Amino acid sequence: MASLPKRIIKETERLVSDPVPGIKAVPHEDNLRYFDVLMEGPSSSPYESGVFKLELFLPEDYPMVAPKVRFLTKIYHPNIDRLGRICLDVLKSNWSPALQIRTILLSIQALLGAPNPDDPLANEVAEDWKKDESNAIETAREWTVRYADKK
Amino acid sequence: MTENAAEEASGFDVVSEQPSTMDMRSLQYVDPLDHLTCPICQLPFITPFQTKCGHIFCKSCILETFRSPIGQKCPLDRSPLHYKEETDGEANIEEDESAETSTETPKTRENDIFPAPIIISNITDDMRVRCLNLDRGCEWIGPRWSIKTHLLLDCGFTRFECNNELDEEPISICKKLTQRRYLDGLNSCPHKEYGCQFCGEMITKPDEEKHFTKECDKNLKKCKGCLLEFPLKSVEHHERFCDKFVEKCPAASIGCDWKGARELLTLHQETCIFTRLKPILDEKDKTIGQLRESTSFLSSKLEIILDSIVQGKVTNVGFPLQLDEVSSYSGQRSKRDSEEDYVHLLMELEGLRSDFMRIQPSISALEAQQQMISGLVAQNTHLMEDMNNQRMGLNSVRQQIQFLLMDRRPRGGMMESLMPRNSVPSVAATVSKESLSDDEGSSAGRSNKL
Ligand SMILES: [Zn+2]
Ligand SMILES: [Zn+2]
Ligand SMILES: [Zn+2]
Ligand SMILES: [Zn+2]
Ligand SMILES: [Zn+2]
Ligand SMILES: [Zn+2]
Ligand SMILES: [Zn+2]
Repeated sequence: MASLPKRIIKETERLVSDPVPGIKAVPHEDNLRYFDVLMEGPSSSPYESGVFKLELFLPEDYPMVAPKVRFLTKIYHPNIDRLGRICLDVLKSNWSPALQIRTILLSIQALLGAPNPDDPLANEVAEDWKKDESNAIETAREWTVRYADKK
Repeated sequence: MTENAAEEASGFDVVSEQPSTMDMRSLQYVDPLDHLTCPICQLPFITPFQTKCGHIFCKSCILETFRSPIGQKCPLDRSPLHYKEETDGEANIEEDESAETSTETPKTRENDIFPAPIIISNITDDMRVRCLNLDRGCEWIGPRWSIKTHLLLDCGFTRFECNNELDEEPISICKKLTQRRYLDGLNSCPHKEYGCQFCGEMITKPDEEKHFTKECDKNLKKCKGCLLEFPLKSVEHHERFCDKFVEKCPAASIGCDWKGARELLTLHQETCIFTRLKPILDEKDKTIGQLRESTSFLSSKLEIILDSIVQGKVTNVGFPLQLDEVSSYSGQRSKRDSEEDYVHLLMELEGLRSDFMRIQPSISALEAQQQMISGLVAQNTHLMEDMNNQRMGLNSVRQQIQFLLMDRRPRGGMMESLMPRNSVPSVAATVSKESLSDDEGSSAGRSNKL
């Protein structure tokens, strides 16, 4: 494996020494580009009670391309599909090499606190959300209790 | 023969046929990197370039971004940036076609990125870095601008190709990558093997150090304890277990200065008072630490209680919330702990009381001073009144004098010349005269008078 760019080493060190509150990202020992992420649901959101597992991978061209991030814990959210893929502009067209792992993880946490059913990835969920928001929020809360780890 | 471990460590090599490229981004900086770092590689700028939107990146970082799917946009604010690489042959041809006539200055659109102010590269070039051969043993530290010179001309750990001829037939060149310190001052190939001075095994110059310390069975060193000789590679291991090796008492940290052979240690420890005290003192240390913690917690809570008592008196409201907090804390703790806390609270109160007693005398002194001050203020008021009365009297006297003067004026200027100039009446006279000569201009009137 090619040696790890200094920037990735620096970012990893900082994630460990100065972690983002409510988010834990640990690189695999045998692949330092692959991170296990634990993310607490933001308070006063239906995901509040849970801790969600994600995987994050830094492709060879990082930071010229965005990291690949995916939810491993099942989650009921209009911008996250059944496979855990996330619809977030900074992960796709709006990526910039000035962004970092920590800013991406913070954006995802913010997305949990502010679902956007008008720009959906999971169509059915988004439909539910638009039809009856309070019911959808209730479902999201149930799923959190059922699938996510307790805080 | 296996390659020397120190040589395998990564570092800087100079190889013919390849341009000696140095990865500036692998440099280790001595000081923390809080400022002047590129938003893309997050390291101090290397050839900083500025965009027309005012942002600065390394030249190579921003150009890599331009070639990536992100394209020619500023990574910080996404504003579009125009740039055409000068070295790009195709681009040059296109330019030539579009501007055939003006050969000297081809009319190209100006680039939106250009070198940043020189001071920025000066500062980043002055940052202190470690040698790239640190892992091979070079301790050099210097400004970033000088690292290339150091690596190419000075550093003994930079590897070069060995250009010496080998003894073999037909004659050939060695070409082995070798650290400069093994090549310098030698006319022959340092890879020529020779017998070890101790064991006779065939070794080469670059391998010598490793052979002596890690391999040779005959390179002997005395154990500092038993004075027997062991191969250098194993003497450290032996010393760790040698009965005669001199050790300090484990209780040295709390004051025992006994030193002696390891075999005598158990005997010493039987009589060593420090050794017996150590577990107790360690335990005490732990307890003190815990106590310190709970004391600081309690004193912060006590402050809240005292606050709420004081404020409760004033507002009659109190602070139920903070009191709840306090009681919930003690609820978690065992009964014995809370008794201890109670005793501690009493002590704290006692302390506050004694503090108060200590302050009391100065409070009464302050009160006495306060009284004195109010007495002085009253006196002062009296004096003021007196003074006002005097002033009023004076005013009435002045008016009377003026009246008298006015009365006399029609009879001639006699009185005026008889009066002393500086006295009050004379001033009054001047004023009245000036007001009379106002028609001719007051300045003229004044200069006449003086
Ligand atoms: Zn850079
Ligand atoms: Zn910009
Ligand atoms: Zn060096
Ligand atoms: Zn050689
Ligand atoms: Zn030997
Ligand atoms: Zn020994
Ligand atoms: Zn002792």
